[in-house]
Amino acid sequence: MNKNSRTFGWTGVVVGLIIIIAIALFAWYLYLHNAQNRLDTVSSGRGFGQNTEVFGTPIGALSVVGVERGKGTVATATLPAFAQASAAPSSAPYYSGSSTIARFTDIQNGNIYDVDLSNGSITRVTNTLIAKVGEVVWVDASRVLLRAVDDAGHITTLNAVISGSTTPKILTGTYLEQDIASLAASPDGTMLARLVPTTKGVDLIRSKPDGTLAKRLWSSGVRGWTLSWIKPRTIFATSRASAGVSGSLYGINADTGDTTAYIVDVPGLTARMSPKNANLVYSASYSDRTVLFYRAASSTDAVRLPLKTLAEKCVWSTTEADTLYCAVPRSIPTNVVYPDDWYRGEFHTSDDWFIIHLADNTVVPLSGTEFDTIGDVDVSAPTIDLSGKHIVFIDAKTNNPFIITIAKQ
Amino acid sequence: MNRIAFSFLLGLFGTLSAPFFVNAQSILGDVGSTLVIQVTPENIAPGQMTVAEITSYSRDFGTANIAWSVDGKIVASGTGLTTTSIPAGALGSQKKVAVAAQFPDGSVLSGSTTLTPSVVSLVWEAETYTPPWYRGKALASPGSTVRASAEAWFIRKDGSRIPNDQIVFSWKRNGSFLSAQSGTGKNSITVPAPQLHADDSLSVTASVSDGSFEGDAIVVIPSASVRPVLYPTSPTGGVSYISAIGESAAVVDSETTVVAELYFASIKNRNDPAIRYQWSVNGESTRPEAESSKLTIALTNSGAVTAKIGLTIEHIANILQAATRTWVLQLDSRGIPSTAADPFTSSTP
Repeated sequence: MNKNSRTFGWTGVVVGLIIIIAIALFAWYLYLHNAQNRLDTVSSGRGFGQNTEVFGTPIGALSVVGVERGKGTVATATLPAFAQASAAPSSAPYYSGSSTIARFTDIQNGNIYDVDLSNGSITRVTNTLIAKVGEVVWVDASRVLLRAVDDAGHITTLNAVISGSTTPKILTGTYLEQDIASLAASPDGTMLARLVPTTKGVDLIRSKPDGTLAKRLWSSGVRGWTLSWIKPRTIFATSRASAGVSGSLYGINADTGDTTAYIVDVPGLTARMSPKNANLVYSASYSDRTVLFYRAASSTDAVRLPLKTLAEKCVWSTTEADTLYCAVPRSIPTNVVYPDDWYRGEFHTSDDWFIIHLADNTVVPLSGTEFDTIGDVDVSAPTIDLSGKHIVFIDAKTNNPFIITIAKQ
Repeated sequence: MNRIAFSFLLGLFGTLSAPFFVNAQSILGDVGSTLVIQVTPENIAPGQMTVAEITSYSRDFGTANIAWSVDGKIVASGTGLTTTSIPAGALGSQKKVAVAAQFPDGSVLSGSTTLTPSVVSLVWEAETYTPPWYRGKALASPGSTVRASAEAWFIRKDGSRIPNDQIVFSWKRNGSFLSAQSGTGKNSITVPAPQLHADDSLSVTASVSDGSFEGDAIVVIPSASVRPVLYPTSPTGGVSYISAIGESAAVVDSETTVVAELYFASIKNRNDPAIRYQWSVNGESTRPEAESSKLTIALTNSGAVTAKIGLTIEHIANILQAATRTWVLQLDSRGIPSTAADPFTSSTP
């Protein structure tokens, strides 16, 4: 073999090795590419990976596809009478008119999803990341106020709108003032009420959702109020509760700012106004007991109800004026300060549900096998859809939403 | 005089004397200067049951035939009936109460008054720290201050409400009049918190200068202690305020970070430099982290270990705002049994 033959021989070996390595690298590339696609699909379905920081310019590439679970219908079966709506920590939902759709916000990531209350199917609505959401206030089906704490410790409120033509959609928005103490949206979603801190206390400001037409309605030297707005012309302000400490509930005219004293000087007051009339359920918490009261619109006298629970664990029927649903703790240990310890997450209740027919003063437990098998729940933020058929509440132990489908009692 | 005529007299009196009605919140003397109607309580809340009583310095009502009417309708009558119970109406309403007493000699004494309910509300809170989203009241720890705000609902006959800036608010703390903080329109006040283990009373009397309305309210402000509460936290999820760590054997991951929230301390946030944190793990002090309210502990080996977490906090400007608590954590390298499922991977909710 001459020198040239040896050279060609070595060259052939090197070329062959290069080809083999190239083929191997290509195969490895194909493997990784496919694997990444699979991961993307799974992660998108879980709400990871494709999220967008909403406060900057929304990334346009939110065209997450192939999200079988997150995008489409996952079940068509009839929902049990008592079921977990989702395993995502969530806020109280918005109900879209007379449909059976409840719209939730996943407070871990700000993603919005719909649950069909009739069959439990879940549909992702948005995929925009908003981390560490602490509080959610729905304005209407497409506008939501997402509240969080920034690095400096200030409370931020993002006035966010669901937008986009593809699914999942995106959230875009602007910030309201820092450190808003409490927020509420009018029942028709056309107005906002917010408590803005001042040097002397707070001002109650009413405006359109975009902040225009702002008007100061009321001022208080005390900042600790919780707003609710369930009647078109009245904003309710309830002083924050503590066992044994006097509390009050004021109604504030949403046009004029004129105030009405609904309840004054009730220890540990929590209250729920009926959306249909001026009926009122409220609770008084003392150091050793909690008592529930009902006051009819036509009366100044309160009637004591035979349930030991907070009014904020109750929800009025949206279809029957004198019907109330309440979650009642099975027990509250004597060393627990209720509701203070509950508010701090230091104590959780295990609740049973009851329906109260105020017209004939009857109290009936809601029951069924699902109630026994689903385990303990600590009811918070109960709401009811406009059909009056579904109660949705948040389990205070996990922040998971649950659905109760109401059979005629 | 028969009963019908007596009733007529009662109704006539109620009509004629209407211009002279005064508020029942003051004791009312009336016709003949011998009949006095006293209504209890003086300050009437809406719907409250009141007791009206007539007295006289010169006549004995024991033998008199007495009739009571409300808005022209007789509600009670009888011999010697000097008292009757009358429920007040709603806020803004007025009830005209008239009474006539006919004596055996035929003479008649009569009088009237008006029940006008009013409401005075007093709400307070301490200027102390509570974490974001806490729905409870900020309580008063020693050395902090308390804000209070009063609202008075005095409703005129035309249905209008007298505004706060036309009402005199007179404040008392533990019975002592606070002259500098009282006056017309002064419906908010700031006072020191109660001393350690003490309760304070704070009261306000609201009145109109012409005497037409007066009402009061009183609250008891208990002394609260600063309460450190431990919560798990993560970089992605933030502080989990729904699940405070209990004092005994909470199971956590092999590495976990907790933060202490100091309810009711006089601070702006949990990392306020006014607070000095001293953490310990199994009795040994730990080095402070960048955020002094935060503690991260981790297992160095696999398995499960019990860690006793100690925390002592002190307010550098207020020795009464101090607290010590301990918690027992079970660190487990196998992690916490997960209960959280992916919401989008279950076929049924």
